Amino acid sequence: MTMLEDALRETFAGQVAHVPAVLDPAGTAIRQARALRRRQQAVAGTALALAVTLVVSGAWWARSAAGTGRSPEPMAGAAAGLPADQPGMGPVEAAPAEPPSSAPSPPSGSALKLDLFNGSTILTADGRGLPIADVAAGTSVDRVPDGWLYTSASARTRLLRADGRSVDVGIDGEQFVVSADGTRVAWMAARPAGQPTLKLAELTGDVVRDVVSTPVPAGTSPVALVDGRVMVASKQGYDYWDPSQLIFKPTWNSTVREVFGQYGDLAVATVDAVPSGSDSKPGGCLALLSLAGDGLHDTRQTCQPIALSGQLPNVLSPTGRWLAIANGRGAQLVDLSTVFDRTSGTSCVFPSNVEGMAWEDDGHLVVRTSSGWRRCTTDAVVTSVDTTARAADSWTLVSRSG
Amino acid sequence: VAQTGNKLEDEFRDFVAARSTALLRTAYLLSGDWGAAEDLLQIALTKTYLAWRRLGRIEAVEPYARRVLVNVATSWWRRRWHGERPTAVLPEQAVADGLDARLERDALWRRVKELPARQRAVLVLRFFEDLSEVDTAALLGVSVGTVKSQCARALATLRGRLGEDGIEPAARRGDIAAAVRGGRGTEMQ
Repeated sequence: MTMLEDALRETFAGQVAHVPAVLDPAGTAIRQARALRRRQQAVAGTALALAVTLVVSGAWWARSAAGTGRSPEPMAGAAAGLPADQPGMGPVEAAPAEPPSSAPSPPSGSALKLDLFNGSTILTADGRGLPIADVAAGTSVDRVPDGWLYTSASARTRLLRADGRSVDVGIDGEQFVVSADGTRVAWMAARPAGQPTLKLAELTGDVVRDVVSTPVPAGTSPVALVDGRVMVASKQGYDYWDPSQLIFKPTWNSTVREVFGQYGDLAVATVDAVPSGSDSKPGGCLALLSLAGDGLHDTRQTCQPIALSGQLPNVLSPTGRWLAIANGRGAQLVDLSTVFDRTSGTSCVFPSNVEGMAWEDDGHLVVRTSSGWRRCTTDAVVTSVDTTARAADSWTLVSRSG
Repeated sequence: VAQTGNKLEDEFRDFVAARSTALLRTAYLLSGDWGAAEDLLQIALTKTYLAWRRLGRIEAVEPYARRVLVNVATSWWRRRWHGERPTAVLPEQAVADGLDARLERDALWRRVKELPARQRAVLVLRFFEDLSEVDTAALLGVSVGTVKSQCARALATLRGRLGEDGIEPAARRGDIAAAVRGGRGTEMQ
């Protein structure tokens, strides 16, 4: 036994004599494991759907070849968009299966302007691959002006800078939301334990400044930032915290079902249909909510037949004017500037089910379908999207703030 | 099914409550940074929870978690940025006599953190975890010869660098022959 080995033993023991407390590592691990399982199941489901599609396509190809005595046309990959002034913007029905040779090829589109994420690497729109070493399983990633916000495995929110370096910006929590311009972040702080605390700060470069906080009831989580205020949800409903009021005093609104984000200084949401309303629908009504002193209030509401409960989260365009709703093989684009006055909006139909979507800008929605990427404009024009060869099915779109 | 899930979750929570501090210590020694250590711990615990049912026996759980910790730490280190790291405390400067044990330990720790990840992992497992060479090799998935050579090489590097620091601890009188013998082992991947 050498003296150096003894010195190492002493050094190691001395370095870890004081261990910082870690908040609920078991709970964090369980949450992350569940999120990872869900993600794996979704990928497995996609693979199964793809396999079924290939088998069905193969059978059709064989039948067609046998029946006509010639080779069938190659399978086209897109469907046409619906006209912008389509009356009665109802739920998008799954279009009946058509012989593939009859479907027109989509106009070729330009390159994808959004980043992609596969759980461990960000593939930037300009083609760079940026690995994130310490990412939490199942985390979402948000593009902000100076990089990408994500949750680390230690339940802190970190920033991956454009140079590929990950930095701790001072966000001591994992449930975060970003303002539409990417300059403000709200999150649930991990400490102090036993006292749920909501924080709001300016995100400047790679650090947060002007942090303000308030205690909140257990089970509260931030869902959006609207006009400088933090929309929050709990089992009691939805509410908001105005940081100028210092302390959050709950006035939960239990009629609000879901909040999607900001349009002007109002919150875009779905609310329970008015019970006596003749045009009320089980899916709820689309509403614009004002954030007044005593809680959330409807300012505009429409219960026209919009299928608000798609199989994916509805996504707002960067300015909040357009709300995209995925249903089967279609995406509805609801124009919030007119929908409360008259039936309006557009729909795009794709050759296969929508699996993910995000807005590039206020005029272009990018959709990942089980058979490829498509771009849908607010004029209901569907085009293909050029993606790099690395952008396989397992990549998800990264939404952009700011 | 729900009861089985709850039982599994309770067992996992008991395991974490009992062993997470020890695992965090190891993670810190492997990474040299408490923030990174917490990340390592969470990754190891998440993977352990996912594998819990498959592991079956509670005795198999901790070695599995430790193996994940070490493997992630060593593969992680290769990918991480190695530039400047913020520190809350400025490194202490050596005083004139240079023999203070505390300063020697600080210098030694700085030099340990400069070692390649695999070599550091071997030192941590051998001299902190007190694992035998056989157990260290099993945990790392390498041969005993590789453990010996990596350990000897790490010790030789430390001796040389401490000498460059002008520190002449008793450590430098160590068994140089061990380094020579270990040098014949198989290289780690």
